[in-house]
Amino acid sequence: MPRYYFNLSNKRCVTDPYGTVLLDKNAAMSHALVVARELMFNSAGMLGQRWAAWTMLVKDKDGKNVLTLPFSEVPEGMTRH
Amino acid sequence: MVQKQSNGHLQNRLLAALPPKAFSLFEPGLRASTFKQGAIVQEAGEPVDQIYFPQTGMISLLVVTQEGVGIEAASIGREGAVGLHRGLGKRRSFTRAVIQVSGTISHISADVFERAVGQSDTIKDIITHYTEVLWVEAQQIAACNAVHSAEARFARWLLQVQDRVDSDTLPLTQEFLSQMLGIRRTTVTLVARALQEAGLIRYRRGQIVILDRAGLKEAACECYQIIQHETLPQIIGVNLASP
Repeated sequence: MPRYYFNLSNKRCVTDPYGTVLLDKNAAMSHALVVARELMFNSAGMLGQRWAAWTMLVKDKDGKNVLTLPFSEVPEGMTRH
Repeated sequence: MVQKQSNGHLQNRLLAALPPKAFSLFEPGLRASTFKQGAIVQEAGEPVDQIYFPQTGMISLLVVTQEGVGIEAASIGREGAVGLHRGLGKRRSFTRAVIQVSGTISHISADVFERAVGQSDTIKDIITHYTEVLWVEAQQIAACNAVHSAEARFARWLLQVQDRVDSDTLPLTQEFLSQMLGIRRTTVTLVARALQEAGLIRYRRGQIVILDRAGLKEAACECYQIIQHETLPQIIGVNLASP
């Protein structure tokens, strides 16, 4: 199974150096959503930037972009799983 | 678990707070041993047969769900003890107690301790007061887990661990942090990397170094200040120590 890396991008980057092994791209999308909700839960933002300004970039082991999840598109009111 | 020659029992603050006469009632039964990270010293649902007084390191009390997930309800270092209420009579443990940071722990057979408690109202009072302190901490943590952000809880938790182990370098794995805080490993990594970007910690696999304690306090929720064991007894008006 492939390993996916969930990086956060804005003016500053927060990278995930370890990655997570997941079944496929769909599983990576679900994981990205869960992580985004866990991060956004009762929190205004990260490193002084509002969540709406952040994007999650999911990459494969070759550094190729697999998915892009702008936090502005994460459904509101959804909290922890 | 490795038995130690020198005992060091009084490094535990509860033991140090006992008047010498009360302490002498059970001191001969105390043993000091080292315990490794991850060891389970008390399983949920099992009879409590030992009481643990950490000298160094830290023990987590976990509530274990049917899915086998353990969420932290309280953490105990040298300011406290695990299984203390067993001194009042036979008990089964409600939580699982896991060594979270390796260390030296004084421990005693529950039956021996219970006999000492039977002869000393001073020890009984300390048990009652300490149980109240733990109960308040558990209530605060329950609220914290329900309403505070991953980042605030993570910061709160690091400060708590630092207080208990008395070191800036905390040997904590990503898996462990993920379990304790009830969030995915990826979320732990991203929150830790953001705190690193902000200059508050240095994060490597299996190890966190606290660089800016004041900054971390600002990032943490108010729960940290509330559950500090130094101040909690005063807040709820109990007298734990009479050194």
